[in-house]
Amino acid sequence: VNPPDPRADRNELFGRVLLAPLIVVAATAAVGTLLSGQWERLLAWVTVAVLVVVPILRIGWLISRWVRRGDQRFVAAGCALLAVIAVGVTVASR
Amino acid sequence: MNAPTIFTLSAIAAILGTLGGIGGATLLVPVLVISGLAPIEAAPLGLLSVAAGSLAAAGRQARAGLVHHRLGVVIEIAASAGAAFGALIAGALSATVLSVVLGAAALTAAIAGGSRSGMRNLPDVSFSEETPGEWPGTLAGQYVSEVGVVPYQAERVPLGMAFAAVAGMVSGLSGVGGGFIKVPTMSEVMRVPVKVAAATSTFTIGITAAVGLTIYALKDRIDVSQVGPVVAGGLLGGVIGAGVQHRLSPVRARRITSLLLGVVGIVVIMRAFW
Repeated sequence: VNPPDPRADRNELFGRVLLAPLIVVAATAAVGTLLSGQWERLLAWVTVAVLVVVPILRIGWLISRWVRRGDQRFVAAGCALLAVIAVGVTVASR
Repeated sequence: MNAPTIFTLSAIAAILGTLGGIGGATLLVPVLVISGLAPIEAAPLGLLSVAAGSLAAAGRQARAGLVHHRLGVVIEIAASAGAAFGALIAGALSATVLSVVLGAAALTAAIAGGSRSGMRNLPDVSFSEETPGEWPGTLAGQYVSEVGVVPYQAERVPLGMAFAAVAGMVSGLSGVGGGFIKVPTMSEVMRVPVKVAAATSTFTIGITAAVGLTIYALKDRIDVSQVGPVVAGGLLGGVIGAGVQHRLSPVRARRITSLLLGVVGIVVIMRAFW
């Protein structure tokens, strides 16, 4: 019998965690569509905030995972990406 | 445009966009503009659809081991730098020139992908016990196709990054996700299997959309009354698209991507002279 592959479930947790923001965004988008005025505005901004924050957190999570595994080249690549995003947003939003 | 119409358009665009990994905005933005919405109002709605479709597909694609995160991060460094540069020079190019360049790029990618027959990356029985996913420290990995486990290795990385920078620049200039350049770049230039390229592109266009949405939010250019229908449609379309993509054969996935790219190319060029 082969020993269990330690990487076998590595993407399961990732997939499950990504389900939480999906549920939040689905709920705020659906309820926001039915409401109007201040609540519609509030839910719209919550939806946009989650859609913006999740991909950035995902990069952060990947970096922390690669740090734990000693994958230095890709830690540097992830940090470079976050730096490029920060500079890009700062420059383009002026 | 009323909420049910926006919802339906967003869902259809997200299904097709996730299926081919090109993102919904490439299809949604031209349709919204043709329907009478100003391009400056359509662009943030397109990015919302892309971000929603990317989030909806993320869990399923990650669990299936189709996303190569390391490749995505490397590609996205060049794409994000290109997007910032594109946003800076957006005023210097005429809309007609930009549209023709966009359309020609989409048509070239459609022809390149559509003219190739068979599978480049073949299953290898020695990998049958391997878990699908990426190999730590490399731009290689394996994924499970319907005929076996297929190993792959990204090639010509500098050239791929150059194309990714162009994709980012196009994204910064026009407000679409740039996936219609990233997928053929990864599959045809870097020789990554098209299903991995499509899933990795769906991951990266979520990042590009997040950057674009931040800029639009800071400039107060997001119409909050349209956020709910666009995002709800994008989420539904993304879930359906990711489910269908998982069952497609690589050859069929590539054909669908090529067909979508061809349609996008023709629509974009027609828009330039309309």
